[in-house]
Amino acid sequence: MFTACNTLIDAGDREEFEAFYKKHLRLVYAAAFSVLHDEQLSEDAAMEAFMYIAAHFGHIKALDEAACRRYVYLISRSRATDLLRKESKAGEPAELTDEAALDDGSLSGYETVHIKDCIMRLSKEERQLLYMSITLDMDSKAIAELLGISPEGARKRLQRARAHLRKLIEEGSE
Amino acid sequence: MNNNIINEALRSTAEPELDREISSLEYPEHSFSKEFERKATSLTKAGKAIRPGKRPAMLIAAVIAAALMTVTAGAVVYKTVIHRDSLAVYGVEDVPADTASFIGQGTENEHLRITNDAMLSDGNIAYFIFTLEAKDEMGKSFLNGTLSPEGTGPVIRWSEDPTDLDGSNRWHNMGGVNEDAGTGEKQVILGRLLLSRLESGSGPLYVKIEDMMDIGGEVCKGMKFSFSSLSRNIPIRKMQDSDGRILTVSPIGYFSDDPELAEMIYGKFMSNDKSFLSVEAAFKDGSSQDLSERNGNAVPHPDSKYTSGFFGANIDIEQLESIVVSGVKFR
Repeated sequence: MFTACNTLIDAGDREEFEAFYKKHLRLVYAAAFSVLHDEQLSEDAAMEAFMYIAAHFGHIKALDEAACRRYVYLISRSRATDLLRKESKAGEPAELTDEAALDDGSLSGYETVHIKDCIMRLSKEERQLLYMSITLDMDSKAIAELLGISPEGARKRLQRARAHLRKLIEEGSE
Repeated sequence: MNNNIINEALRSTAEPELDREISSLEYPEHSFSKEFERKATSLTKAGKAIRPGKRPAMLIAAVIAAALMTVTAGAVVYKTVIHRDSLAVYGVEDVPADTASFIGQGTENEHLRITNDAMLSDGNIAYFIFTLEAKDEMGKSFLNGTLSPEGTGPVIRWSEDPTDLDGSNRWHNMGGVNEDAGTGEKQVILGRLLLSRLESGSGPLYVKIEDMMDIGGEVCKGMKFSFSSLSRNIPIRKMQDSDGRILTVSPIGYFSDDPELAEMIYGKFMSNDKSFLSVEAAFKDGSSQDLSERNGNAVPHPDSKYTSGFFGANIDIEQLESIVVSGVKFR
């Protein structure tokens, strides 16, 4: 699996990827260890994180350093959580069934400070899901791979997070 | 939703939250397993070539003549001409075949032939150029990466343990093929080695060709040979920063075993927004050469006391005025 990932890195990116790997190895491992508290499992999660990074390196390398670190942290923690879930035999997380449709109406009428307050009222998972989607510009397929769920599951989670945010915004404005 | 507004709000909420989590992480002491390192090496090392820089390559003939090593064949020993086109990829020129016994030697089986075209050592780091040629269709498939279902190609590995020629964990990756210089029937492999990794410090060194993941496959059978010594055969210069820290520079790279320097360079590397170590050489004639992102420009690990890097091209150290590594200037 790891080798197959190698073919996903463009030849021109490999040296850059090697430097990226060296620069972020400790962060990746530490993030995984913070979830798993097991050296071997943390190595496994770290390896999976780097495989993910390799497969999406074209996108990741375009981010600034701070965004890269957040991206890497999110990936590592997510892979570790996924591994923990598998280890505990909890199986795949239940697919979300909330079918709330996206409403792409403009939010320009709302104050940014109000939206910020609403974002803080989301769950951390929802907030970071929106951060991955909107700020880090990850598509649902990439998010699905990161979370270890199906693309449809990722899309539904995003829909749910967006719907929740919209609900909070509209409630607060009434 | 208006993503600009949401984005702005996310940046001011989710980002500080993530930054706090990252800053609160504990970094446990950990030695990565050999299996992890092997997989990581397979992922990160691919041996992409860096074209020679603008500076003219130094004449290595004289120093090569002083080489002390020999190649012992693992399979069939043969003598052939040097692949000068392979040398040219890395800016090495004018290496006469009759000045060192190891040049032009190699080994072969029915599928592949490997030739050692150059081995340059400054006593701290060593730099090998091999040419790998296909002799039959299986060899071609191997070089093209189509033999393995995983699409992997040749990689060269080294070990110090002669009793473990078919083992696994003692073999370390030295480099991969050069996609830019290779063809379907011939590939250039650049091998790079930090000599401090050797227990002996200077050899002997055992080398073999493998598929990146398929250890000991049929196509690579018998493709092993050894270097009896990796003693220095190129010139070096000791350069100092403003605090008197020493950096040893040679035509192929730089090295320091000063842990304080390693820590300082690592800190500077971590604090900038680049994913590679910046290295710039200035010459006495006023010219300069950016050696950043060169092949193998190593990043010092915070747990390591070493700072080292390969230039990916030969530079003329006699004409070197200064070299700046991650903002630290040495004269």
